[in-house]
Amino acid sequence: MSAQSATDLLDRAPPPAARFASEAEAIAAAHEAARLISAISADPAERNRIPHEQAAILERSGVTAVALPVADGGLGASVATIVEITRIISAADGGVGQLVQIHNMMLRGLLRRPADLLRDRIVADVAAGKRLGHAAAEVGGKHKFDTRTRAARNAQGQWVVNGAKFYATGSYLADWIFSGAKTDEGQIGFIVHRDTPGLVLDDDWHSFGQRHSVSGGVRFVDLVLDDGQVSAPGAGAPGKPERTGLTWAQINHAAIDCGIARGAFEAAIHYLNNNSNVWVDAEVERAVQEPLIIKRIGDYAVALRVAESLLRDAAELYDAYNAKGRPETLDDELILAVAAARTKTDEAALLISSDMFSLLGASASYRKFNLDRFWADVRVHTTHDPIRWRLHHVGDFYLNGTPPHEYSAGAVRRPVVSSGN
Amino acid sequence: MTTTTITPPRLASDAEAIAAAHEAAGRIARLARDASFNDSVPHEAAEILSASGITSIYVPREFGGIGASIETVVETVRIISAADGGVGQLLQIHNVMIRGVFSRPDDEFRARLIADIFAGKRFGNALAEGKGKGKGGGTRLSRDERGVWRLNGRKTFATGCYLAEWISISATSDDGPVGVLLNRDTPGLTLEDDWDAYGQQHSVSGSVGFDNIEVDPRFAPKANIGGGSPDFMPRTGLTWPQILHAAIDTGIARGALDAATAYIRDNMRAWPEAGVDRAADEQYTIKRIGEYAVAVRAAESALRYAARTFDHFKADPGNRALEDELILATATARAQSDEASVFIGSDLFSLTGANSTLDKWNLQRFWADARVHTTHDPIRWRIYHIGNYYLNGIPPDEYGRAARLRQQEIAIATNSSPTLNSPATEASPL
Repeated sequence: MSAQSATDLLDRAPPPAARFASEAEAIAAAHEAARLISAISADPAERNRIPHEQAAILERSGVTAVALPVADGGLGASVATIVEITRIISAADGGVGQLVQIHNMMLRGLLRRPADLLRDRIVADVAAGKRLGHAAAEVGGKHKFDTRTRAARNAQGQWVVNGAKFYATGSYLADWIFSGAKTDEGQIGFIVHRDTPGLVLDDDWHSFGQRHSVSGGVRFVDLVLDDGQVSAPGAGAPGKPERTGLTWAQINHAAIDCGIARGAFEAAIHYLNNNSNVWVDAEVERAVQEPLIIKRIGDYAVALRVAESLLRDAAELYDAYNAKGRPETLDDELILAVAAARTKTDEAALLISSDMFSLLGASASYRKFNLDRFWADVRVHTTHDPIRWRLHHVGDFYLNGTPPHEYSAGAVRRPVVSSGN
Repeated sequence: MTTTTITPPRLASDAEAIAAAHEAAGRIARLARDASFNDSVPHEAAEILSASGITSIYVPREFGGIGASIETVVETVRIISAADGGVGQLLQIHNVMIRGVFSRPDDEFRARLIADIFAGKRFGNALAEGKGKGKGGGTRLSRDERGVWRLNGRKTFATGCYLAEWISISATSDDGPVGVLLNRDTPGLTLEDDWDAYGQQHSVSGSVGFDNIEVDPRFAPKANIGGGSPDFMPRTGLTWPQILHAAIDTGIARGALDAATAYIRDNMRAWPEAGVDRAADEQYTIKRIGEYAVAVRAAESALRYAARTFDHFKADPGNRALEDELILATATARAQSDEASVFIGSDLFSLTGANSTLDKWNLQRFWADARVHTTHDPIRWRIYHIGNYYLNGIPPDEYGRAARLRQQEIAIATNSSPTLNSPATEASPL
């Protein structure tokens, strides 16, 4: 199957992932990777393909290792830098950007685990450019957190897992998959390598956008786990859940939409300069000289700059929060800042990616230009969790003084190992 | 390939036409929901359209038709577009292109065209040449060494032609712009299935080629009809296609609203924070659906008002104030239907959630169809004309005056008699 061709591709040209001396170098590498990825993803024929080549570019660029501590080959990079990398890659391809996003979610969970052989092995893989994926959500339950995957102990006392996950972002192209299951003793979390017997990675993410996030199914068919792969029931589940437990995922979601907004904006300007005809009523030589178009591009630019500014502010606040040991006194402000960034990145990306066709003209709707991919990607990605509920928390704070949450604590059961997606 | 022979009913009244449109829309909607049909040529939907009888309701009484009102024709296009925006555009372009038939000379050829309309045959248009509106292009009618008229060239955005019986074509000639009407089976005419946009695939707006086609001069009115007056195309020459374009987007907006509410009621899990068992009971969702409904109702209301104004103007074609009002009303309908269809087509996913993005639901088709269709001509220029009227008292245009002058050749292509400055008979491309 196509997972095999990915391996072939990497075997052909596997230079080790880059090492960076500074965060500025990592940002530069992200820009270079984005340039290469963008050249591939602009081709409409790539739209519904597994992004093996884009993933290989990501792997060699080294940008997925920056969150590792320096001693492990990373940079111990700031939130601001990790968020910026996700944004830059997403401007080239929102789906590939989500591969980076989910990887960094899982990586934070891994780095919070006690040191052991498995952790060391995965850290070494990440330093070499390998990525992590996530299989938590399921379809068919009553709501997003109602899951049915179960594990039970066999005669040897090992956990045996059966069940099916969906929306398993990145897993089809990841080396390590983070998941969880219900047991008679409570919820367990586990980490499993992609080559493990009993693990099936399905190429069945058939959505109208974000195809390159490979968010399809993962199945467990009598998957046997060693103790070292499993977080025991109750382990790692804080007695008092961290309110900002999902904020890390949320800010990187905002980075994806912010990047897609930038990608759409630049594609629109490029098309207006190179392909658009002057409208018959406009007494100008070139489409880019028409005042009505110039003003509308101004609207897009303001929306985009607001989104980028909120994302930057939230990331800097997040770094300050981490530097101070994640004090509860900053929880409210961080959650509000990230909710604001998500709201305005959602708004800017949807506005620009849809409205730009009102300026570009009818020919821009030909599939050969592949310009609807920005709307398709951001429209699918922003359904991850409803923006109206981010706004609910913001409004309830300002109106009623209610401390804001990501997803309400009462509604959420967090997986033990992962940090949520 | 031609459509199979069908015998549409002769609808007896406007009310029967509306009922027939609803019946056809129900069947077309069932096809349109199937994602595997998105990129197929809509043969079956087109046959349902023709078999319903609604493609002949615009034929005037003096030609044996029911002479349906503008309001009724507009409503049928809206109803079909709520089921499938692309199929709605087949009906739109057909109604635009048959208008010229009724002002043709009374001859055997006209009789054949009208008989074909009653038989459910449809008309398509081949005007644009891919380099922007009004630019004119390489399609040319000229005499060969034996004095035979020959047509050569190529058109794009030829809406409906791949499934049409008659193709309305604009061309240049030594005598100026000419219009040519060709049957789909004419030797040398190629209808291509190459319309590859991300939406409105069912409008089959691909290419048409002309390879040295021998043209009967009776089917090619000369440009100098109308005496070459620079103002020969009336201000409302494009109002007929414009109001039908608004009907398409208004229909798509309604289709999106209906699909969103059905999905939320029948297929959706409640968001865990909402504290409700049914997604349809969440207050934020209910309020947002209310906003969609207000947007759709505003579009429908603007469309209805514009259509009634058009009917009044047809009865009073010399009324300049009514002409202004008609153009403003139609531009308003286009602006509001554009806004509602693109807004609901995109925003609905903020309510329906991640699962609704799976291809099997095919819910992105409303945004894709509305977004592609609304690029026909820029809404910013419709709104510009409204603003210029209110701010500076400038009489509004569909496309500006300069554009109208450049549209002369296209007017002739619809085989109308432009000197008759009446909206019932004037030329109207696109």
